[in-house]
Amino acid sequence: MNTFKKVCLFCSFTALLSGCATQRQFVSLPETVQKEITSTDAYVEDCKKEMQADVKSSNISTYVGGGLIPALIDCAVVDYRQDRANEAMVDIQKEIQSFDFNKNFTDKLMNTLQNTVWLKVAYIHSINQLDDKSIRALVNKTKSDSLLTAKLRYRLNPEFTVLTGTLYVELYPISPKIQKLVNCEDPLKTPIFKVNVSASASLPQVGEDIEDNAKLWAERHGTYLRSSLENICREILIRLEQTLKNPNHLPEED
Amino acid sequence: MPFNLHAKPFLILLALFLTSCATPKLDLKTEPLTGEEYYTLNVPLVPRENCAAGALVLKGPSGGRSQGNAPIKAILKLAHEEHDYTINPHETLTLSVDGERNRVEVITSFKEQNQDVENFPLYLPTGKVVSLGMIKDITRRRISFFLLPEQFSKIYAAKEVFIEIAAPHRAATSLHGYPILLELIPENTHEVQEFKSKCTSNSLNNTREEK
Repeated sequence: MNTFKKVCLFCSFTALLSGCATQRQFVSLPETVQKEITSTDAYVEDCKKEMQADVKSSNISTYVGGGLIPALIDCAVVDYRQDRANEAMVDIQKEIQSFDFNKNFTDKLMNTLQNTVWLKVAYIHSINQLDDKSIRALVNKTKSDSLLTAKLRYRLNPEFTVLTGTLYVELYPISPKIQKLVNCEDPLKTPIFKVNVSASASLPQVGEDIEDNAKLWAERHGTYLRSSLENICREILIRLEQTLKNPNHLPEED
Repeated sequence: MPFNLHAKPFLILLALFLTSCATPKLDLKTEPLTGEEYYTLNVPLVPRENCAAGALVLKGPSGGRSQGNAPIKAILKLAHEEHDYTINPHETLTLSVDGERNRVEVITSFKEQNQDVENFPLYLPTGKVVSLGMIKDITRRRISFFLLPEQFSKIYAAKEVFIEIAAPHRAATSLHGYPILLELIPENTHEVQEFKSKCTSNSLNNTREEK
């Protein structure tokens, strides 16, 4: 990788980190808006069969007060750690491909959303991919008052000792009536409700490094990985139900 | 482990960051989406066990829109001095007022791993100043719950108020020990009473004039 690419990668990584730090995990639904919702279209993304991993950041440039060379060293360290994590996860990725927990989870999630009275779900469907482009297309297509999207991601911590699943749920204003209530210009930039619901599972025993821990997750055809993912999905649904009962709690910024 | 101000100067900064100031702060804020006004009270808590800093945030409607029997929206903010990725589903949150323990229902619980940077200026003989940084891993937590009116009214008359996060022994898989214990000191409880009166009385106009 050449120097320019490394610098760009480092800048992106730094921007990503700062974005993560400021990302809001909960946006409170105002009661006045909740009362006005008469219909919602809901889309649930098919579970991705891909494990992700966090890597520890390198902070040499912070320690020494910045500069290009420390930034390049940081970049190289993070790059190395990411490559190492990806290599260590090869067996985990193979095992995940053989799991089929998607349908069960999606069915239960759809059930939870349909049973949430205030959402007034008119239409619910699973979708292959939920990203900005596809959500914008759904916004243009939807005729209901609001649009709900839900997607599940799971990742290992930098030591590979904890697996965390997070369900990202967002509700966007669609009808002119709802958009007017929240002074919305772009629905994608103004979710009227948002919650990230997480659950985790820890390795019962811990190895010496990430390679050892990756083996522990993947051993016996991923038995522990499989049961952990099932437990995580079950716990997420319990927590989601609890949150959907009280969508208008304190706003995140308080 | 008790909070030791002399041994851990970083925690002072962390506590200040978390609570904004050392004393309770009553604010009139505006709902970003709808423009509705509401009061928030940010009360610093004294960490007693297994956490570095804490604060309690209360929210209530402005201008006497609060109904007497409506529960108070509350958030407990916590910080731990390391990265903790575990989420313990068996945790319980208990409010203890003068020894009377009441378990409260948790609505949402978020955990976020961050890094805080503390900068130190290094003065070189040439006259230049180089800023060196020290990085600390921290985990911030936000636990939202409701306080029932009867629980709330007991707080501002109480001598001892503790908030405790506990977990059954077998389920305590988190890196951090349990129980996590924070105290709302009596010096700060009168602010809670003032918050209540602001939310229930039609004092919005008065507050605007004061501002």
